[in-house]
Amino acid sequence: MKRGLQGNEQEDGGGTSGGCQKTLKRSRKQRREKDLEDEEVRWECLPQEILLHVFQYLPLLDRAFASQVCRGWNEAFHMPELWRCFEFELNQPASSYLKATHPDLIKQIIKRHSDHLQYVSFKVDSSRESAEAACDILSQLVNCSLKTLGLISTARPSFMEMPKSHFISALTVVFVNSKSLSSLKIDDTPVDDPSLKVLVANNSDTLKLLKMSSCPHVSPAGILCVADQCHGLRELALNYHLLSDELLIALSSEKHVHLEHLRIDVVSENPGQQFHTIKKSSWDAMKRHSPKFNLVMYFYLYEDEFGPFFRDEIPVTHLYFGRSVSKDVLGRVGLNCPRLVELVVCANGLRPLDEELIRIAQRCTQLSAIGLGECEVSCSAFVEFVKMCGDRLTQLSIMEEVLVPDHRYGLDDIHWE
Amino acid sequence: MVVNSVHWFRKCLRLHDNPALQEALNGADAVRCVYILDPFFAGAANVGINRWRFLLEALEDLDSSLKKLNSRLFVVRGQPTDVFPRLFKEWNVTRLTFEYDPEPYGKERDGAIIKLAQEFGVETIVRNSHTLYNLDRIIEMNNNSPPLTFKRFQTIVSRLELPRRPLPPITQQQMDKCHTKIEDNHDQLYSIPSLEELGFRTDGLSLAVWHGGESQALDRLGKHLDKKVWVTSLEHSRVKTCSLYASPTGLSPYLRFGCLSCRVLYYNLRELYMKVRKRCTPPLSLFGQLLWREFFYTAATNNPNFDRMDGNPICVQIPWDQNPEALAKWAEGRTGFPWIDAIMTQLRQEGWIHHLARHAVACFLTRGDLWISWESGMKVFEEMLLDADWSVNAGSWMWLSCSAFFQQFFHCYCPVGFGRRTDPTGDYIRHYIPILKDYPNRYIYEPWNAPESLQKAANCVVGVDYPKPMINHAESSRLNIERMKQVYQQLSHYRGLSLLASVPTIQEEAEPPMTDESQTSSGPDSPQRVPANTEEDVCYEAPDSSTVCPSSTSAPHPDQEYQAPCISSVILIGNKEKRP
Repeated sequence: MKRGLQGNEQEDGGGTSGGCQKTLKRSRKQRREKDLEDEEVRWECLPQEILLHVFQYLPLLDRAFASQVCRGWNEAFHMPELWRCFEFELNQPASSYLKATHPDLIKQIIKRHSDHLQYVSFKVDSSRESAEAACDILSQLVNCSLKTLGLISTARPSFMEMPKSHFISALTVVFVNSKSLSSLKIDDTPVDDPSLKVLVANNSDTLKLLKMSSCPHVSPAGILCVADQCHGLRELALNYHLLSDELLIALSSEKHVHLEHLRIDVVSENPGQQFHTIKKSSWDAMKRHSPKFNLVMYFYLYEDEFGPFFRDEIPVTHLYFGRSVSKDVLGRVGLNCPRLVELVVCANGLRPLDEELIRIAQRCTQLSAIGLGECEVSCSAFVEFVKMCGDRLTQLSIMEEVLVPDHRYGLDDIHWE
Repeated sequence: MVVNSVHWFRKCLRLHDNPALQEALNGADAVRCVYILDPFFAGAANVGINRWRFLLEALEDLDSSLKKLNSRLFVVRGQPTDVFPRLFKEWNVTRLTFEYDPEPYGKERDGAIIKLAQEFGVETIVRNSHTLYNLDRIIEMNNNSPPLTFKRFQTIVSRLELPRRPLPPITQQQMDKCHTKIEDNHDQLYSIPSLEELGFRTDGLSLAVWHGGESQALDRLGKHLDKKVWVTSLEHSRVKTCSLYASPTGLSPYLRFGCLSCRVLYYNLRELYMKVRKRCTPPLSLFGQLLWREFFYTAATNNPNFDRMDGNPICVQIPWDQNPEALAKWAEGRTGFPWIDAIMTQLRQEGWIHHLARHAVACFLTRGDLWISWESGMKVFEEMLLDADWSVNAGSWMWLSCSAFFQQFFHCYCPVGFGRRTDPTGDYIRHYIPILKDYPNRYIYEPWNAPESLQKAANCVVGVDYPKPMINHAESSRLNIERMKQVYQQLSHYRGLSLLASVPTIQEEAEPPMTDESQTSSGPDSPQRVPANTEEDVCYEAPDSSTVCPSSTSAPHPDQEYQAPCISSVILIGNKEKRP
């Protein structure tokens, strides 16, 4: 750069004062030109820390363009701090509308930055190729000491469609090499008990978050092993079939930290499926050990599969019914869920839920959010409900069709109330 | 000065409430009414046979109405930019009139024509009659941006003056003053094409259920109002006449093509209400159908990318799946879910389906089950649905797929349960999927669950005579809720546990006097207010203040404000007119 020649007045780096004295003797025009030149020179000498800070605000593409400007900026682009965190987006044009991370960039990252990566996630579309590409990358992260790993399928769970062994071996590379994994999201993957053992063997001190909903190859024993060994675990997400009394007791043991979030998906594979029960004493142990913990439950059951649920008090805080749920069950919810904070009902039936809703308002004193889909509630009951808990609700989402006008209120009156 | 007018029909295919046509007649010596269409592109356009047939019938109706006034409709073949120069010269045109088209494509096309007309010394007069209000006015009143929630839209509309009163139909007297000689060869040059001419095969085509035209429209209006009287007079009872079948009083296709003026409908409803209820002001909900239409038109008028996800500022970027095979099954009614298949069959055969049916199939295609882009569904509707116009169709699809307008996504329509609740008799299924007619009610919505003996007895074995269900609904909906949650949580930077709170609430929702003091006065256009996160924000993920995930947002996440609990918004998820 030609400007550089005149810039040797400022070689001590970025200082503005150097040039100022010299400008006093020049004409105004020359002074202005000099100032401009000074400014241009200054950009080149911007300290790395400042460049780093600025680069952090740029999206990857812009940052990549910036790195082509000069050697200094190129070096800044490759500073480790900018590569701690990366999200690989793996999409095939045939199966997704979204763009993918450029393969050359991926190569570069693996070559130059795999030691720097700490917080990594993979977003894959519904094609098997994308899932396999993700695992290929994982297998190469041998020098990585990851703190966070997330495997996210944005459409169909493509990790389930690839050869299980390929997946397991890639995952194991990470488990073994990281040794300080704190957060792991592997929902909808073919992870199994042996790989969980490897996870535990290497990361038991550091693991705090584990999300593994819909991992069909894991057994209750496998997850129990995690709970037994990983005493720092604070967030756990899994399917109901993995939940056991032993697991809850293990999570409530003295050595264990307070659990903060427990998310359970209750999913029916076939109509008429039988579900085991969890003893009230197990839930009580959890509550004693972690009084503030949030229990999030998502139900995807047929109406007649709710038999074992809500018979006893259960400390659920966030409850979602993804399919039709009966009046009877909602009545039991009102009786047995004193800690309820959010209730979302996708659908119910054709009989009004008036009493059930009122009871929930009365007994669920922590309730602050409610959503009702295809249900029926009479307008009067709705008004009463809102009167009872309106001051603590932050979210109230009710489809207009839900409200049935009755002798006291019509739909338009509701708007006013 | 001789005034030779040409009135250009596009939508607004009617002689009543047609201010632009009135301008054409005003002081004119000769008037010709034209409709321009290009048969060459008929096959290429994404328009199905039912829509063409409806349009041609509407044109026939216009022609016969004009005949009664000693005139004719001139259907000119070609493209407007080619046709008009020719006509301007041939007919010595001095004035061109047409109805204002608020859609972005329409505005562009019309801009070019107006310029062209200027070059030929032709005066252009454009009048608004396709929408109730002046859409730009609504946008202006909302701080120069279209309202993105229906609630906000209603608030603004309630502050406007009433829509301009409709004009009466043009009269014989008016036409007599600008009599145009009709040539003998009129039918050769300017006749309305037939379906065959447009390239459609008509053998085996069933009779139309919906007949196009202004006469039909006005006739239906009368019946519609009669029915309204009956419904309105029943004080608060809920009439469960959810008729999935085509209604003889249905008006939506006529509004779309302009065979019926929306203002005529508006004022008729208004006057009827005031007469029957003896109250002064009708509630906005009376005009539900009309206002929804207006809402989408307003949202779309300045957004040429309204009909797609990419580059559309109001559309959430959702990682939809690309799956042409699955899309085809849905479009052709071969999903294996009788409720969905019956609806898509009715759509293909007749060109109209009830709003609840639209919810069901849209949810199934997008966020409910197949996770396919709403754009694909929109194109299928565009081809087959009689009342689908660009703005309303795209807007509705974005709405139903929870891609825009701040929709809660938690309620997912079950392709079995929803159907069963809507029509417990199952007759709708039997009507449109005759092969299932011998199934009992218990199994007609889920034939795959019927015992084999029953399937054989009903002469319809699943997998042989009728497809197996193409997906497992419980599994798909579970996955899709998670996907939607992922998208929305990223959008709203929400890290808490509440499902409902993942959807950002928009500042504009909170209108005085219901606001709480925690809202800063940043105006209706400020970025979405992040909902109260009352959970402990425990997060072992990438620290998002010091380093930023490179491939996502460019700026560090804004801090979440804690807000005192109060009902920040009672979201009545208003759906379109559910009672036909």
